[in-house]
Amino acid sequence: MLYNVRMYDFCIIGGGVIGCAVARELTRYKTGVVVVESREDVCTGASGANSGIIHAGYDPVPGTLKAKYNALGAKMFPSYAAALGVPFVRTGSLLVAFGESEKDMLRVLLERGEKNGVKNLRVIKKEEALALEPYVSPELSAALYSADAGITNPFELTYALKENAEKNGARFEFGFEAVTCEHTADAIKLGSASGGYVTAKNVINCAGEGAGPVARLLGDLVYMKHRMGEYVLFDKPSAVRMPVFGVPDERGKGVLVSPAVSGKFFIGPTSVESKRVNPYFRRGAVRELFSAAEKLVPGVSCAPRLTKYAGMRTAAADGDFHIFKGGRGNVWHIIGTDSPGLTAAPAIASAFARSFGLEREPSFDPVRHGIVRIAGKSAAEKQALISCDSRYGNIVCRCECVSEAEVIEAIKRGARTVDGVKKRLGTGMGKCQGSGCDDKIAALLARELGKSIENVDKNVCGSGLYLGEDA
Amino acid sequence: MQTDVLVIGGGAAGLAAAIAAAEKGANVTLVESGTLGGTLVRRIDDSFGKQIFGEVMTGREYVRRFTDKLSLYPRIRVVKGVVTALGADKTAEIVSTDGCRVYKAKAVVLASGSRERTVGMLDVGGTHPAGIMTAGAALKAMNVDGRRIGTRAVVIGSGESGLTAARRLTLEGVKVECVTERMPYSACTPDMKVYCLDDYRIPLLLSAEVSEIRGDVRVREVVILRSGGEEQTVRCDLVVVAAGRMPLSALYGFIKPGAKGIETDSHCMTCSAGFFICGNALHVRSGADNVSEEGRIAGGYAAEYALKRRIAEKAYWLTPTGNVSALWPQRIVAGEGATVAVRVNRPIRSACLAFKDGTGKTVMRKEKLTMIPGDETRIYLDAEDVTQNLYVVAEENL
Ligand SMILES: Cc1cc2nc3c(=O)[nH]c(=O)nc-3n(C[C@H](O)[C@H](O)[C@H](O)COP(=O)(O)OP(=O)(O)OC[C@H]3O[C@@H](n4cnc5c(N)ncnc54)[C@H](O)[C@@H]3O)c2cc1C
Repeated sequence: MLYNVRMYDFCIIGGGVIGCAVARELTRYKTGVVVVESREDVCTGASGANSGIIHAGYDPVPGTLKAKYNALGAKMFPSYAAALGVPFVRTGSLLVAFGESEKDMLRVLLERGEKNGVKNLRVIKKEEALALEPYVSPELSAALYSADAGITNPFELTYALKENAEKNGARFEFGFEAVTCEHTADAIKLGSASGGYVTAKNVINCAGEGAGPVARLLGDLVYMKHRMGEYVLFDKPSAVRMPVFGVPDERGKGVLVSPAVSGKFFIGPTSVESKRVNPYFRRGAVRELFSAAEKLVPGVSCAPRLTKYAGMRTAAADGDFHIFKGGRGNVWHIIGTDSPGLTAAPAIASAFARSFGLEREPSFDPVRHGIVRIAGKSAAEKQALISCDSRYGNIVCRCECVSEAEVIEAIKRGARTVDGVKKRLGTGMGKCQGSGCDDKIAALLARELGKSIENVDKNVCGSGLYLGEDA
Repeated sequence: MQTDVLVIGGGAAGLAAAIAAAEKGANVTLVESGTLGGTLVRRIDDSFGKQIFGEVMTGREYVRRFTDKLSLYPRIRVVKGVVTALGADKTAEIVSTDGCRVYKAKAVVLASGSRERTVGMLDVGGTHPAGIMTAGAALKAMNVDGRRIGTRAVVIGSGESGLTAARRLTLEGVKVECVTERMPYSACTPDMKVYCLDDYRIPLLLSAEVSEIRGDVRVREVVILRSGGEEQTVRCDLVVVAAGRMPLSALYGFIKPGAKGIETDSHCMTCSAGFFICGNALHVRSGADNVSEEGRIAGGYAAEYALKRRIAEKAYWLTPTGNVSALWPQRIVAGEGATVAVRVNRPIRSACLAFKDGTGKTVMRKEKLTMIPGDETRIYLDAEDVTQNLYVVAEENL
């Protein structure tokens, strides 16, 4: 629990990719930053359940904030990711059209892309599309190829931003659900559901799916819509080399087939209006996804399936990003950040932080190194790692080849739950889906954090893998 | 490092394979990442050993019989580690706390077992809160680690592992609300149903599927869909998934599978010469005894291969047709007898297995009283029975 130890210059509500990116950008300046997050970790909302695609930016309507920040974010992304030790693979992307009418749509999208300033975008013939992506449906009439698009690991991006922000002085408060707000003469005092409070001169609403209630709390009225996106994940090897889309419709980009940086691949997302904020998966959605994906890549649904999951999009009524100062005091909102929010995050955050005209912090260090992984190394490199630290030789997740040493490092960097380790390292994301390693991860968490295993949660508070004696 | 036979996996199959290979005079390296005995150490019910040792015992006792024997063979080296890569040239990269070593083997026995189907692979809607576990993970938590995992449970799947879990949960004080089975018949034997469910008054719901799991933090309730379309909500805090297992095949992707997975001859050799496979890594079985028996065959022939004593040359194909969904082995080495395991895709009460030649003429029949999809039927074929390629079909004696 946090007491009024000091006054922060900025308090960011929400530890998603947007909140973490804004926090990190603000630490470039001489200013005090705190992020309050209602959950137990960062990356539990939309940032932890999306397609992980770095869109080049031909999709948003020219003139919108989405168009501006998408194209800008995509251009920034490669060097941004490199500094943060986050994987980015420039795979390119392919949008395929069937029949003549859809072919016209490609022209429209190409023009939009050009207006948005997207480079290396071409309408290509069927033969070239099939050469780029051999398993795509041979029924296609033409395709839009975007060479600059790529894929990233959205979890790692969010964690990297958090780690780097922390390194440069930002603080993170977890289990802090902002529920009360008091405007004083020169500051805003936020109270959490569990009784703590934080005082800051400026408050920034980056609450993702909670953006509506948080805006109301801060004195502004916004109307947000929720649309759920369901996915099916398949095992490696990937059926496609790059994200493959169909022609977008009024509901969005539609179901796509895409590789993940882990080498696996997925199909999705669906687009389902939802009243509830917590994502869930509909029975029967698998069949829906299969029939949509089969049109793009025939036979794809026969690949070995690993699991299914869902994410929640939270969009503004007009579908655009909204970045504005609220009506009362020093309150800002960065909301409506649905897709391509991941791509846009670097651009949104850097423009936003710059807009305050603050003095630069000379000691700011933009570099973050990822956790040293044993998977994918040669035998000699593995040997070298293990001889430095024998815990690298204790493989706790066999499917994804993750060792005890990596889990300990993830815990050092802030993992507090089984899912926190999973999203940082990919444990339990392979064939056994955690049935062979969740218990080992929980035991390591208990040991490293000095608590009993019954108090180790899967994710949210109270989601223990095991029950205590009195339960 | 060099070894004659590399056995990957130290469960019921791998242990038997290592001992059999050592008995034939080969130097053996046995790699196991966890505890010797594999998933059997979770089993504290008396369901093992009848066939091989002539007496019933727990999974742990069964393992002890093998591990005690293991120590009598100085030719067997046990490595606690994980095989992280396996090459078609029979080199294996093994990671352990001692380092990362590359082993070169003359023959390899794949005995790496299976994995359980998880909830993400089923068509179950809803959320994914805490309180969902596979039957294997549940058994390990209760029987090995002594943990409490729930108070009221619903078990998905009426196969051997679902029933074993239901019984064990009940004995641990968890109220098992029901076991659901998608098919209109149970996947286990009637004896097993009495032993695990009826004795504890656990209801078995046939033609019933868990269609939705609800709860944001922990499982709160599940929706069960019955055959008529009627839905029923059951309160519980634990869902145990026992919806089948699949061979773990990531390591040996270079071995070309047939239509229904990896195929072997009656020596357990795959189509890649020198690679032998046995146990649940090949096809998923109920009893451990059969698995060990297969391990013994694989280990013995792997040793003969490694020591260049004998390599099978000619074999006849056995092909499943009709109600027979699968069988093992698919090739019978000429001039030898073999035990064949057959699976059917629906229960057949008064069954007989017919073996037909290429023209459709039945050349032999084997009587068998009942055959159920959840359990394999084992029949012994003499060398004289198999002198050509044969097609196998299950016929109902009406
Ligand atoms: C299905 C789907 C697919 C997508 N695909 C892509 C893609 O391919 N490429 C791309 O660029 N973008 C994609 N996106 C968009 C991208 O995921 C989002 O734009 C991005 O994650 C939004 O980040 P965020 O920080 O705004 O929200 P979130 O990640 O949801 O973070 C908001 C945080 O605020 C916290 N919070 C809420 N209320 C409170 C409160 N009162 N007090 C404290 N904390 C609170 C929440 O717990 C949460 O952690 C996709 C999104 C979805 C849903």
